[in-house]
Amino acid sequence: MTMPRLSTRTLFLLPVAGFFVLGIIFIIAISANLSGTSKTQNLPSILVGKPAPELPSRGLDTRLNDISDPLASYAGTPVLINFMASWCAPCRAEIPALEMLADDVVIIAIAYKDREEDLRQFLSEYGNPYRSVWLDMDGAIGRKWGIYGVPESFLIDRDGIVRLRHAGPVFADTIKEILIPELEQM
Amino acid sequence: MAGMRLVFYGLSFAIWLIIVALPVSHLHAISPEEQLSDPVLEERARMLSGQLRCLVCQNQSIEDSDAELAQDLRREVRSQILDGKADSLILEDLRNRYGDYILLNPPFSAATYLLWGAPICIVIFGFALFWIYRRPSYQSAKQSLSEASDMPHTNYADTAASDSTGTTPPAIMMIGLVVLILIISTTLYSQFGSPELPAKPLDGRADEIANALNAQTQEIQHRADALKAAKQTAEAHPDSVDNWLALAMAAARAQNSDIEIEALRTALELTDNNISVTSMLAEAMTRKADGLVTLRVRALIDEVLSKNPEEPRALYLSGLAAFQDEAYGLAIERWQTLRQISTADAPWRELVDENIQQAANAGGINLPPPENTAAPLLSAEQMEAVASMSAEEQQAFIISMVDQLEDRLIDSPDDISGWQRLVRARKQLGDRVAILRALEGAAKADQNNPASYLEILEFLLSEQIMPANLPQAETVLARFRQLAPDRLEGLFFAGHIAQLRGDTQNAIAKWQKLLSQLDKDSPLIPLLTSRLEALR
Repeated sequence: MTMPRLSTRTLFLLPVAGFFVLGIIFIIAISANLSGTSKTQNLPSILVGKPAPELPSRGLDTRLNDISDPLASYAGTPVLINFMASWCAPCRAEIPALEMLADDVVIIAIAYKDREEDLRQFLSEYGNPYRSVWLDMDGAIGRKWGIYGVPESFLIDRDGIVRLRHAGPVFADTIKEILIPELEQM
Repeated sequence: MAGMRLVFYGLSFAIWLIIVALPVSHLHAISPEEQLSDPVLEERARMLSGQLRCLVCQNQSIEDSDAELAQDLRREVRSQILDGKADSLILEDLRNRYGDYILLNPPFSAATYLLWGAPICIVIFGFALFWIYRRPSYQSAKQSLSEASDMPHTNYADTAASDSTGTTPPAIMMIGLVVLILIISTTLYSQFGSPELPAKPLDGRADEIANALNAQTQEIQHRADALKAAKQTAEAHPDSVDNWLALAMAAARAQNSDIEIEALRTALELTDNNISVTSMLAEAMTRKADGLVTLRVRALIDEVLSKNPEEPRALYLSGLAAFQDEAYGLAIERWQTLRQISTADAPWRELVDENIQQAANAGGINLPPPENTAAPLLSAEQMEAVASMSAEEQQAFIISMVDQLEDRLIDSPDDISGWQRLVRARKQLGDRVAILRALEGAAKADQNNPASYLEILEFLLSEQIMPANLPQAETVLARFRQLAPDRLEGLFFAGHIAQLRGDTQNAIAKWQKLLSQLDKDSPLIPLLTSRLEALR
């Protein structure tokens, strides 16, 4: 029944040591976050497994305005919804990768808080991998999708269900490691 | 027990480290144009925003963040509030788009068991640790190891007793302390514990400041409107004194002295120089001059006081004028008169008391003990009776009261404070002969106090002295110098009396002697020097 007697110094150091252990855990967690190994923006979206939320009804090409739902034309095929903007640098960087991907999946652009003339300029300058470009002038649609910023992409399956969210630009390895495997499962 | 104490020290140190390590600065990012005009809804919006994480900056609420997304979300919250959505529905809607991560206070779910459960586990662990250390077996083991004692510790009470005689505090105190800390921290957390905690004091203050500013602006606007309305009314009926006085009042509230003075001048013409209006004008002019009693105002005050020596405004201003002339004795006298004629609940009473004290300090004058000044001449009922009378009736009533007081004092001449009250009452009424009688009575009652003789001298010589009074003044002066041979006032009054008698040589001699005895920085020196020059 007798407890081994702890030295007084140990008794003092116990809580202090506890604090330092906690501190080290914090530092590891924070540096993991900063270095990108654990990104809060890559938390699984709550939308995954749910029907795609509302999309804009106004297109860059005015002929699109007759279509009530951007996804309606592509029913039965997977679609990549890409939130982008002409003022966003990473959005330029992802254009080449998206052009590669455009052969495998329909890509629709939602221009977030953008201007039409800037958008046209952007597309002619950097390339246009998009099947159609839709306008989300005040960002309300983006907030409906729960985006943190641009670029951000969502993979929608044949039934119009959100299957994957990717925050940040799409690069070749993103396509290879994340998007293609997901597409193959659909 | 020493071990327990060290655990506590260690814990305190760890807690200190946590406090030092936590950043606590928070600022509000919200811009004025985002705010809702309804303060209740705005409060709701702020409360909700405080619970939502800024997804871009991650460790701030959207309330505190300047990020564009945070701004958008704040607007979204406000627009949903305006749509009449309940708080819980708004939070649920945002959670359906951004997930639990947007809530700074995460919900209790399978994924957050550890997060919510850890603090409770730590508390239980702490109690367990405490219980182990406090166990009799541990204590007795410790005791037998640490003490070179052959007395066997048979039970826990014995151990505790020997403990409490040592240097460590008794166990019950330690337990009490732990329980107290737990209760306090639980209470604090349940009251204030939430992620937006550091922003709270500022939050509250921001609203408070905004409300105060709002109220102030409204009040100023309200006063300006009232002034405008009063001006229109007065100009529409230029013959109505009441309207002009109302305008003056509205102008005073709106702090527009020019309009106030103009309105009072008009009212003065209409009332044929009514003394109340005159003193109101004097007051307004003084306010315009930032409290300086100018010569024109003094003329007005003198006019009022010559007609009614008890006009409160004029009395106050004349005291102020005397104060500004550094005639502190006179200032105190005027203000004490004002105090005497004021009812106990008169709003200016405290201000007057303060002024009297200030004058006494500035002039180095010893005020009579407070019970003397506080003792009212009239009882509350009498005061009330006075208030319901006309001015003439009041005056007659007060005179009869003072006469009664004097009759009583003649029967009991040793009542010093009674005589002092009579002096003040007589001074209010302004009858010089009666004042002198009262002063003499006070001096007789307080025979060995040089101050009472000095008061008679000051009174006799304060204004235009009658030649008939000179012998009396000399008698009083002789008595004063007998009682206080070292006081310089004696020399001053001796010179003064000599001058009045026309004995210039004697006056010069007395004042030169006084001058040589005065401190180098005495305020009397310039006065005496100029008087001496005039005599030569």
